[in-house]
Amino acid sequence: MSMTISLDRNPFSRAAVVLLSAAITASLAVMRVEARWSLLPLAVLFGWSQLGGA
Amino acid sequence: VKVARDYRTWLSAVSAYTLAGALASAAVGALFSLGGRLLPERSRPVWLLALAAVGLVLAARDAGWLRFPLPQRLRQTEKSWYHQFGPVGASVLWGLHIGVGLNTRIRFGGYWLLVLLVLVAGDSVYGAAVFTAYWLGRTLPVWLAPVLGPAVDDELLDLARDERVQVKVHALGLLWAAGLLAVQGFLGIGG
Repeated sequence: MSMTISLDRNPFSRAAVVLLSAAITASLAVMRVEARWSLLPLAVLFGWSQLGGA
Repeated sequence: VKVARDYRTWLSAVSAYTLAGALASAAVGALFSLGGRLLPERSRPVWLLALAAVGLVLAARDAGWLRFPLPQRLRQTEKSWYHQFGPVGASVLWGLHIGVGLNTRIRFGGYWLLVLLVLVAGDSVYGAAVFTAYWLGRTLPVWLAPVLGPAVDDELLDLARDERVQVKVHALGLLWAAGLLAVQGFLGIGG
């Protein structure tokens, strides 16, 4: 599977990519202050991937 | 995601779902962290490196390069609660039920990385915070659905569950998390 992300018109896909970028940026910023909390933005991203409910 | 008849009902239901789920998630995160108290403090850097390796394996799985099943229960929450308890009451129950995390399907590996992370950390506050963050991410599509797409039920769900991008984003997130854990393990920080 290629890891290239080609965005379609799906707004949830676009939001997922925005969230990934935000999570990476936020984790870097948090890492500089308190390393152990740097995983928190990734936790939000992992939750997003479950998409709401079940 | 249930389509509410009016904005006030929708807001009440989604707020109730979010708060109830946050309570359940925080409790579960704190509970998972209890196991980590048995680990010797000095061994945490080693465990963080092990977690980084687990993150890589889970990323490879989610990218489709490895195949193995995740521990999960292949069931859904109770739709009938809506008819029994109404939109807000059912939302509270759905939040409590789904917020536990293990009651329904787990699509990707990030959840299990977080379970292991809070276990290794052995700090109840940290465990509660990590799982509350996970839950808030989980409710985010529900909050954003009216903004991101038309307020229709099944069509919107189909759109949201398009996995082509989601799975890659999740795999890249796991890869990044593995990198962060490896750095923390090597430097002897975090956890």
